[in-house]
Amino acid sequence: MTDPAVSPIRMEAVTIRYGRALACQNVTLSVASGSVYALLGRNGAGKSSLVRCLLGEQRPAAGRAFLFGADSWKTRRRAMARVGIVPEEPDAPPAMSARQLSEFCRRVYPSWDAAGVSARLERFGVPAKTPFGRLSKGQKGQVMLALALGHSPEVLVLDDPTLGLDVVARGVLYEEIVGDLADRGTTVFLTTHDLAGFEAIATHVGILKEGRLILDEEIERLKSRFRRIRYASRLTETRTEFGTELDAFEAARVRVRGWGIDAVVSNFSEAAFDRFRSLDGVEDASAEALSLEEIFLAVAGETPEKADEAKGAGR
Amino acid sequence: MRGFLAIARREIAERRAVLSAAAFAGLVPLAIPVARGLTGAGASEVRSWVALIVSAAFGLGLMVAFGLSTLAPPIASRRIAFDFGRPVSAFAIWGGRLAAACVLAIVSALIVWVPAGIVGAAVPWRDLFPSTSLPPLWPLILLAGLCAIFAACHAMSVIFRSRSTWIVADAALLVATWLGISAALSNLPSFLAHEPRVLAMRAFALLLLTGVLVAGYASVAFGRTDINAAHRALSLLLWIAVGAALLAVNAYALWVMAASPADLKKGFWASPAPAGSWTIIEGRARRAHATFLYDTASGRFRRARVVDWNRPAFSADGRRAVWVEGRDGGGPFEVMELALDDPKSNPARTRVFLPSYPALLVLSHDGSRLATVENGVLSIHDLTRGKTLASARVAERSGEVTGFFLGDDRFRVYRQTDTERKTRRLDVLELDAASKTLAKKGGGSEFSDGWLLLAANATGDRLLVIQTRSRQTWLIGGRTGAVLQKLAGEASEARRSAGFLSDGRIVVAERSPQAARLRIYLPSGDEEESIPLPSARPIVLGGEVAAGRLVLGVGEERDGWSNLVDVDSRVVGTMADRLRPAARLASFWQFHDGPEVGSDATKLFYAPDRSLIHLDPTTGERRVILGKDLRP
Repeated sequence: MTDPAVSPIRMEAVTIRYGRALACQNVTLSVASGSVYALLGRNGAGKSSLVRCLLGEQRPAAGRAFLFGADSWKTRRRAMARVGIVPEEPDAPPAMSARQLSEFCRRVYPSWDAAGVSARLERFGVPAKTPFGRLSKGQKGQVMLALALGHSPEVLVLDDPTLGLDVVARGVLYEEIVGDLADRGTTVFLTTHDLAGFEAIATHVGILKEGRLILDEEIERLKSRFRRIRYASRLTETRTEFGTELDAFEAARVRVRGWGIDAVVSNFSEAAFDRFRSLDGVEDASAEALSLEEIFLAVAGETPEKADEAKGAGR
Repeated sequence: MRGFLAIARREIAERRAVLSAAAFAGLVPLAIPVARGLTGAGASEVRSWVALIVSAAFGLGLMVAFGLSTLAPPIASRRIAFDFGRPVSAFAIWGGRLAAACVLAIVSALIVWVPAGIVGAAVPWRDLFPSTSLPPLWPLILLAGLCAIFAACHAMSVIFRSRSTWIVADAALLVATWLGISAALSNLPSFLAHEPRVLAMRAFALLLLTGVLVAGYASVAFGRTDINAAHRALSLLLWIAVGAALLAVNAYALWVMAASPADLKKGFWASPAPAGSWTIIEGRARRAHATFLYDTASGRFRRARVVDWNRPAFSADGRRAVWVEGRDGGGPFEVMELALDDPKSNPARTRVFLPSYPALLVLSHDGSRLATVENGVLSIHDLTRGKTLASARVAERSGEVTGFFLGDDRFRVYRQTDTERKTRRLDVLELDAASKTLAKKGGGSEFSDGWLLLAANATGDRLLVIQTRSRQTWLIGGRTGAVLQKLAGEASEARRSAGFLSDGRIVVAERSPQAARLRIYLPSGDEEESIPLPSARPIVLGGEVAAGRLVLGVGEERDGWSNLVDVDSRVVGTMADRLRPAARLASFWQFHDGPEVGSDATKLFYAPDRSLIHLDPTTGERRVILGKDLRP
């Protein structure tokens, strides 16, 4: 089992290149045992490349990825006995049925719960004898999840597992992951665009933007320091210029609307907000909590300069 | 191993449809004879051939298809991540697929064969390999061949799918490999190194197979889900392996070609020059047939790249040697020469080219002229100017002709031909290079059927003729070809060898199962005396170490010895125990190359282990030329 002192997942200054193109640059992160780490980023941000490096499927141009404290490129085979994987594109041999895939896995894993896999597939409603290539995308994902959990992995890696799934399939997926977490405290590393779906499950979040990890934080703390502040701003006799009143909150994004200012801040505190409300020229100020998706949009949807500022605020 | 077997099993299960296709293809050999209306033996033969061709094509085709499709596409599309996401090694992923491909190809080929086999088709091995039998390790060779096809196709698939700039380097290195292996192998035939050539080719093929298999594995192990990385790893390993193989093969070829006389194995032959200290030494060195010109006085040597086990020829004064070299062991042929009296000389081209290999190669006394006979055409060449002075057809076939120079410009030809009366006729002709005329000088004597061995005296005015079948011996006029005297009695069980002594007398060694003797004849052919020899064992006439003192080799190689016979006093003494003379009093291959009296050639002996010993009977000085001196 995982040594609690050793992070089951760790990356040290990982850089990934495809020829001259840089996919990831100097990414360093660590995932504690039992936590659920959601790696977020826009398409092409480098999430899947990072996952491949983590799983020892691709060698980083620089830096190293570790699974259970060992270099995953060098110790991939041993590590994979303790890792379950749900890939972005279900990649099982198309001619094999789910049952045959389970049988294949039984031969290669030290321990394999074939009955558990069958039960899960039954629960998902996936036909066990239909060739994998003939299953729908959602069913393929469910087969991959069933296989990923078949050997009771200590680490579960999901690369955008909800991509292309309908609402029902997504629900089943969440349910399985939550169930597995509840049962065995599996460490989960996932990349996703389905922020709302995983918000309730994730304990940590990282945001990749243009290959750089611009945010890496516990999700509760992240949510507690991000707020949307809306207020009307006027010049008065004593207030002769705009723009400095949000400095204390370290704004991640500021938009000027017809009715006033709409800002997302990354360093919110109630005390500072009380002081803000009493500022001369600030009227009708309100602060509201943000969802993970809103935070992501504020951080990853802006220019790199702003994003760097947000990251700095998070450290 | 679990992973290897699991993946092999999965691959076989996934592709088992090819077995059904094979069963369907197995009907083709049955259908073709029916469609062509053949019956009986004809139908059976057609069935056998079609079954063989279809099954081989099916099996090989599958290996090509699997090699192209089982690994490179999944790497390129990253679908191979399914396997890399399991606790299986890269070797299992590579080896399992390779094993599955081999199993499917072999089983499919057998399935194709089965229907024809049931109705009596047999593999036509004898028609395929009429002169060779199957090598004992043929199943391994077949398996290695299948693996090579798979690995090579995988390599091509990876290279073309990666579409990286490495492909340019691959193409360049492929050309370099071709040039490298050509460089290594092309010179070996001219060194008569046929066995090393085959060995080098096999070693290269084996190293290449290993290289391509290891490179294929590396592409999977180090490429994993990155096709560009797979290509880099594959190319790196492949070209390193190929480079190492090329280096090894080239080094081996150079090593073979750099053989020296010291590398000659037991069983070499020495043919000393008639005068001087040079000798031809030929034998097996580093698995090749090597011919050296070797100076027994200084130890200097030069290798003669003769064609097809032929020997160089010496001039009678022992100062020049010539031989014929071919290109890659074939024509056109050029005459090469070596000035033996120049310590710094190297083999030099004479610019005399011959369209085909000469059956006869004779130098004039001083080596300035060369006579060759190719396809029955006699030519006299001037070696100093590289020009052919005269040519004339002297026989239908080259093997019928032999001869020697009379001065620089005249060459006497002895032509022997079969007659309708089943006899052997000997004619004498002369080609004059100055007047460019060929004239018949005499001959017409007929001998009983069988090849005639000829040996001339120093002036060429008399000739010894030994009939190989009956061993009868005659003395005939060298210019007229007329029989002067019949020597050494009627045909009998006796085996004879003969030659001229330096004073013109004739010596005939005669051996029957009961006794041996040395008959001495006067120059006229009249018998002068008969010297009984102490042993009835095989006799070799060596040279004269002094006038009238003849070396006689007795016995076989392992337990022979040499006697020294004083033909005047009739004393037969033991000269050297366990040594046998290297030179012959008369060579029946070429004229005028019997050793000069007292020359180094008369003092060269073979020891039982085939080392070459120089022994001077007058001083008793003994030294080893080649090999070890195992004195009794």
